[in-house]
Order: sequence, then structure tokens, then C-alpha cells
Amino acid sequence: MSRFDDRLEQDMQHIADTATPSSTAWEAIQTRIAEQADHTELEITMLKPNPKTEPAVPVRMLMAAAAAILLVVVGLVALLNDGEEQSLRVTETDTTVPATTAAPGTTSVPATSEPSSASAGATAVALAEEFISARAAYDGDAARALVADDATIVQAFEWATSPDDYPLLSDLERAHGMRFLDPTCTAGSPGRVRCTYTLESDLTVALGVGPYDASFPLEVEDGLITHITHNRTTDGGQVGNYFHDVYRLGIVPWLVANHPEDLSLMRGQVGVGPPLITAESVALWEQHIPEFLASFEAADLAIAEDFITARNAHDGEAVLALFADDPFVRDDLRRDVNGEFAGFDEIDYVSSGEFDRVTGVELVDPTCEAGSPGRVRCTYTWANAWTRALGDDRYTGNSFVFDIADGRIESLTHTFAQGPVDGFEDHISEVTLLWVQANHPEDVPTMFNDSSFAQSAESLALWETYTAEFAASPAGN
Amino acid sequence: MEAMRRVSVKQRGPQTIEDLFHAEYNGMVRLAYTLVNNNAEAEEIVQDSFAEVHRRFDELRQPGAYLRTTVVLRCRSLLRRRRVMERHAPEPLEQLPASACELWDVLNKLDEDQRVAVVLRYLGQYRASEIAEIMDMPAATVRSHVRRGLAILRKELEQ
Repeated sequence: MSRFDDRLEQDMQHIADTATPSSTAWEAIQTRIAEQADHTELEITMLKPNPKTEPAVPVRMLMAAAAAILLVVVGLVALLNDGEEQSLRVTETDTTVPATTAAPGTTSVPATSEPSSASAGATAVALAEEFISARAAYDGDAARALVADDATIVQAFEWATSPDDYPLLSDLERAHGMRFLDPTCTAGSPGRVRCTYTLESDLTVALGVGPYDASFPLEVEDGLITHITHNRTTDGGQVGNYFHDVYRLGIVPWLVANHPEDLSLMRGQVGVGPPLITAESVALWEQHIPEFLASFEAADLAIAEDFITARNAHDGEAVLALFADDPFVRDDLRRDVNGEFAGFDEIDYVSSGEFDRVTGVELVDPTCEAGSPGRVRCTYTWANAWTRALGDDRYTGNSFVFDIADGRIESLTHTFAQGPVDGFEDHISEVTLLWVQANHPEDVPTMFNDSSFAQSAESLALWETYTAEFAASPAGN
Repeated sequence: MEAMRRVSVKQRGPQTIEDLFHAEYNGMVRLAYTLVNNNAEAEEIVQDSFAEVHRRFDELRQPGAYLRTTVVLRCRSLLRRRRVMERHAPEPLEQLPASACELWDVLNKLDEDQRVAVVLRYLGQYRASEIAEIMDMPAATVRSHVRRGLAILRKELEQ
């Protein structure tokens, strides 16, 4: 082996030595295995036929399939528990109890087993719902009160290491603006509950990632939670999306660039792994997350300002480049004759930019401010060569509201303060139409269509000529 | 001690998933970590892999080999996803010696196959035939990836 080989081997060992396998890995793996079993149970329960709708033969086939899966699950569970622990009982009733804000359409399977078992399941579900509600309200003391003193907490996923961490964990989650949306808790095998929810946070919104499917697999005993893990890291079978998107691609590079000295205090060791639950760490997260979000605000404001600059430059291509793929657009000035809003694909920004150019449109005195993460609102006064010539400055207080993610406009709402018909189009149409009718009646059909101003090449050329003529005429002065 | 236990398990074959865990978990996390540069993701990958092995434990003749292949496949999947996103920033490694930091940077420049083959060869100490099995490709291709990867490493590290 050469010296180079030696060096490679040695340095690679150094790198591998910085890996920090968690001390609770075995518990985490057991949880995952149990989750697999729970999922299988749910599938089995869902295979139960509806006697009113299912024909007899498929029912028997489905039941046979269920029985076969039951046998496999029993075997797996017996292998897992090695006969010492209480086996996962696949006959357990699935007592799905949607939480108060559960998403519509959630699968709910009616209870069919022993009343006492169903009751215990419902109690466990109620406890789990209370826990997730406390988390959602950032009430760490309430969450702590639901957890047994000797509970096992899988730190790599839940971030806490002991039940007494919950007050600080809630502060940390508040700092992240963590939101637990549409929670639904389902009882599995005895004492096991799985709560699923949709996760988003101020960070995910600012970064334009997520929301993520997340879950709390919990174990409950004697009215307290005894085992907690927290899967906020998987989405569609992909590993680590939340961590990857929010931390590795988001705030960690920013911290490395701006506060490298704090990283080990916030994430421990060499700056990797979940956030640390210490007062010092939480204080740093509380300090740095708003700074990080503010950096996004500045970037978002710049995008909104670029939009207005591009509009004022009448550069339709530049306007289009600021939008994300398939954005939502609702624009008071982009409606058809029936008042229906045009979709993004129906708006020709390039042609309308050209129309704005020949008629001298300007968004005057734009003022933009950032709101919630990713949202910017700009107000402005609308003017064009015709209104300027008339001294008509009535078109004030209009606004654009942008939702911006990852540097692109995902949603745009344009509100025209005076209303599109009564305040703007009728008025401008009337002024221009009357003038064109009086001075160039033969060009009216070219310059106007059924609903608004025509934007053909021929029309644009006429608008450019007559806008200049109007501005220089006595009518325009 | 851990190495001895690993040999012992390899000879008999793990009797339970827990045996396999004790024999392989730390080594698999180290391997995954070196490939994906991130501890939390490495643990995710390895734990998911253990859960997958558990699901098939009864039908596997060599659960350890299946585990290694699963871990590497999942690491490669993650690396591919990162490449698509094209914005991955490796985590800082302030505590590493300078030469290891340098290696870390250059490893990140290798293409996925080269990186996996080199790490399995030098960290995992696997033979080309074993790497071929894990990466599901001919041993000659593995040798080629190792050779090309090493050429890049040598050029970058010895500059």
C-alpha cells in the first residue's frame, strides 16, 4: 500500500469518525419496525368488506388475504419481541379519531372489537391529540405534563432528549414558526398511537419548500406518553427532505456565512444534527431565525421591485422571467368581457408590455413592504400618457400582493383601487374612444376590440402615433 | 472488540435484527455519513435500511450484505436528488485535520459512482467483487471507477 493509499484510508477514517451515531438508534429502528406493523394492521382493517356493496366471493378472497397478512405480521412481531414483550396484537381495533382540525377525507375505520380496547384506544388518541395541540400552541409545559418522567424520546427526530426539554423545545418551535396542520391521530396496537400532520414553518414558507407529511408515532401507558419519536424528515419515501431543504440548503449555509461561531452551540459537535435543546441554543435560534427571514425579506422585496421596474420598462419578457412555473395570478385589469379573471397562461405580458410602452403607462411612486414570510405588498399610482396629458391623477392606491418563494413569484394579486370597470376601463376607454372617434374614426375598429384595447401590431402602431398626437393636442392639454 | 463481534456475527450470520444492529449499525452510519456528508441523514438512511431488512429478514440469506446494499443504494438516491437540486452545501467540519478536510472537499467533486466505489474501497475495506455486488455492476467497472476516482483525488490532493 502506498503512502497515498495510507493517507486516503486515514483521512477517510477521520471523516467517518465525525459521524455521531445516536445512542437511541435501536429504539428509533424499533419504532420504524413497529410503524411498519401498524401500517400493515391498518391495511388489513381497511380490507374489511362492506357487506352491503361487496359481492360474496371477493369478500372471502379479501378476508383470506387479510388472514394471510395477519399470519405474516404475527410472525414478524413474535420475531421482534422474542417472546418477552407483549406481542403487537393484530386483532386490535383501529379507532381512528380525527382531531378537531383533521383534514376532510381522512380514512376512518369504525371500531369493531372489545369495548374496553376501543375505549383504551380512544383515551390514548385523546392524549395524543392533547399532546399535539400543546405542541401546536407552543405550550411546552402542557406537553411536558403529558409525558412520563422516564419516557423514551428519540432525540434524533424529536430534538428533545428528556421530557423536561419540552418547554424549551416549544420555544424553539415557536422560533421556527412551526405549524402542525390538519392533525389526525389513529390508535394502532395497544398503547400505540400515530398522529399525522402537515408540517410547515416560517422557514419552509420563506424557502418555498414543503409542506411536509409528518408524524408522531407515540406509545401511551397509564395515561402518559412513554415513547416519542417524530418523523418530520420524510416525504413520499424520500429521506430527509425537511432537514435537507430547511437546514442544509437553507439556514445552515447562511449561519456558516454569517454566524459560524454559533453553529456548534445551535446544532452541537461539528454543527450537524438536530437543533440543540439548551437555553443558549434556543436563544441563538430565536435571534438568528428572524435575521435569516429578514434576509429573505430583502430578497423578496427586490423581486417585487424588479417586477415594477420591468413593468415600467415595458419589458414583458423580464416580467415573465420573475414568475415561477404555473403561478396563480388574479389581476383586476386582466378580465374578460364577463368579468372572469384571466389565468396566467391567458395573459400576454409581452404584448401588453408593448401596449403599455406605446401608451406611456407608468406605475408611479411604488412603495413595497414585506409582510408574512414570502409575501410582499406594493402600492402605486397608475398613469399613462393620456392621463398625464389630462392631468388626471385619480388612479391611486392600487396594489400588487406577491407571494414569493425561492426567488420567483408564485402568486400575484393585483387590485385596482377604483375598480376595473367603473373607475378605469370605462373612463380611459371613453376618453380614448371619444378622441379616436372624433379624430380618426376609420381606425376605431383596429384600435378597439369587443372588450378592450386591441393589441395587434397594426393597432399598436396606431396607438403609438395617436398617443403622441393626443398629448400634443389641445384636448390633451 | 466490535470488530471481533462483527467477525463472529459474519461467521454465524446474525440470528436476529438486534444482532445485526449491534454488529453493523455504527459502521453503516460511518459509511453513509462519509457518502452523504450529514449525520442526521446518514442515520435516517441506516435506520430506514434496518427497518427494510427487518421486513425481509426471514427470506434473506445474508442480511448484512442486503443491509450494506440498501444503505449504499439509499445514499446514492440521496446524492442524485441533491445533484438535481444543485444547491447542496456540505456541512462544516471544523474538527477535522486539514488533510481530511481537503479530502472531504475533493470527494464531493467526484461523480457518484467514483465516490461510492472509493469510499467502499478505502473506508469499508471491501474488495472489488464485494463492491460490485453492493453497487450492482461488474467488478471491472468498479475497478475503473476506483482508478478514475483515485486519479482525481491524487491530482487534487497532491497539487
